[in-house]
Amino acid sequence: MTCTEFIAQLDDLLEEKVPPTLKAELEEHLRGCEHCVITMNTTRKTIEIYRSHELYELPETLRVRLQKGHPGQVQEVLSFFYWHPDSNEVERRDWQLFPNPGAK
Amino acid sequence: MPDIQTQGTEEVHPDVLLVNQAREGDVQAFEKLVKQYDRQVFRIAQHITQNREDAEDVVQDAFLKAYEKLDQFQGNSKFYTWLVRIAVNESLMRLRKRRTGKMVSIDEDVETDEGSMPRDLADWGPDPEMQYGQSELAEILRKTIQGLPPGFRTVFVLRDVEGLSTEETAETLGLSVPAVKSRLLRARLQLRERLSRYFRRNKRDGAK
Repeated sequence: MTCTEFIAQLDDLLEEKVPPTLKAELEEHLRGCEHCVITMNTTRKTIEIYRSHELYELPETLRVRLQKGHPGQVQEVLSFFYWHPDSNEVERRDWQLFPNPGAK
Repeated sequence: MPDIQTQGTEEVHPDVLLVNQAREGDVQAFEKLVKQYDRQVFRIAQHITQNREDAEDVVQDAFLKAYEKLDQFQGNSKFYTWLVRIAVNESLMRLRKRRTGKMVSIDEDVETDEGSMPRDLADWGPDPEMQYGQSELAEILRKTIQGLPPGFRTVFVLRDVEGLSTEETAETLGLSVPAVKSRLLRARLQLRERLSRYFRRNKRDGAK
């Protein structure tokens, strides 16, 4: 098995989705290829790091805005149409009118 | 992830019950769906648009569109993947506007061989992220993923960060399963290669 063939199976190997015969061939390749061992381990680590770190937290202001005026509460939508001369496209923009949260 | 409830012999996802209630005018049911998925939708929008203001607009627009189109939700896919599809489309539209009308699609910049074969052989230490403080690490991770083409970035985020299955990712993005697999592999390898600059063993202690 070449390194290219090993890399082609890497995702399935990481997700343990390879059949036993192929897995044995991949493991055999790993025994003689430090390059692929490093690639597999560091790729696995890459996924783990991105999974375990929340890079973008929901802004509190947006959370409040969504709760106070979520779509189910929209009373009226005013639509405006804008023309973009460069692309000659017309874009619809909606202004959403929400009920006053304090008026409940 | 919410538990699956059993109704008769069929399994009904709790979201389907909430969607049905929302369709009948139950505002609180939709509110629950918003609360359940607002963080995920924001993360996806921010990853794709790379712009905080756009991401906030995407979240609001995605929930609004989902609410308006609740009748079109078939129930043969998860509500979450249906919502994510709306958010991805909205995000790509925003990205396009930021690029002064240049078309941005999920296929952009994916026809490259970069990352198909690893070049950097450097191994990482056992806990490479411990070399950095939390905020420094977060900045490295953000900067690194920002460098991926949108088509790779989106597949990686949906599949590896948000935990959608390959099939759900394909359905959400309108791609074939082999296309998702190919992009995911190259996205993972490119990220790995780029992170190696920061995480390679002994980078800081100079012992090797």
